[in-house]
Amino acid sequence: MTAKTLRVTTPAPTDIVLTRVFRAPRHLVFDTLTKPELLKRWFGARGWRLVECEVELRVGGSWRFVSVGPDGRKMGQGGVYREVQAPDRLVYTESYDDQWAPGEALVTAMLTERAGLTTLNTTLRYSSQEVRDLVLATPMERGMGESYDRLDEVLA
Amino acid sequence: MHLQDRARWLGGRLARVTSPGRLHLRRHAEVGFDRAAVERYNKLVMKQAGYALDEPERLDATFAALADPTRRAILARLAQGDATVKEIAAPFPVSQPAISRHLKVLESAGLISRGRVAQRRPCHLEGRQLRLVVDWLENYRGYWAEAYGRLDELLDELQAGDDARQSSGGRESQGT
Repeated sequence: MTAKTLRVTTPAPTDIVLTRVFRAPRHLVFDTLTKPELLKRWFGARGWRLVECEVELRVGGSWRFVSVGPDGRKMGQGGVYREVQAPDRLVYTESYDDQWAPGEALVTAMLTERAGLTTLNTTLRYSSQEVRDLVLATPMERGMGESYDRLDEVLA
Repeated sequence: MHLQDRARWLGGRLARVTSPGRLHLRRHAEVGFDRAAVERYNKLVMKQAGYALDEPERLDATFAALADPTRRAILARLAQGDATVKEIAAPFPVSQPAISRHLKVLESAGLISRGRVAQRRPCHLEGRQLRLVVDWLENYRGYWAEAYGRLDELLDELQAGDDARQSSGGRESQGT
């Protein structure tokens, strides 16, 4: 896989898997996933920005993000760390304050480094296929797809 | 721009429902991180636009059908044009009955249809159902692609900082 290409797959009915290569060492990528001052600098898109970020990085520790979106809307999310294994593995639960996606997701981030490139593989496991599909189907501010020529990626 | 694209892609159906402008307003007014709003959106916009979001069973079946690599390969083959079971089966190291089973799954998911021509019954890719799923994935992917793009910039910056510190400490710079 070439660097900077994000792959999204749905290998199991309850899962979404994101795979992305970064041109940086693994420990640095791990830091950007777990340090509030770094998370605030990249997390979010389409007008959503992280404004509050608390991370208690230990097994059983909690995390909490508050993002502000277009029109000043606020969204809170958080969960509990289940596994913290710097710099290669992070497992945590995730749920949203306003329950647009019901229940809790289990997120597993795996980092592997090779020749200076780090592959970040994130699996989001939802409580049911219904919830997973709802997450995928929820238009994230800009709405349904902006280009329709990605068949190859889905069918790869 | 995406609304025009979408209207074009929907073959004008959208324009008959409401103008792109109206849709734009509706979407921004009603779509948030709120399940009820998503359902309202689906009912008001997506269903009228010709999507079948009120058929969760079929959508489940669509995702399940796409989860299998052989079935994805079959769809990729059909994207080139209609084909018979025999033609579809040729490049695969699996039996024709196995391919037939895959085709049944794809058919019940609404992803393909079978012709009525006597013996041949050529398979045809049903683009709309596939597009719906592609759209979902693409929208989701687009969101994270943007976030990770920002992360790229941050990582570059952090590494430039690391290199500068290493150089000033007399160690060899790794370069960027």
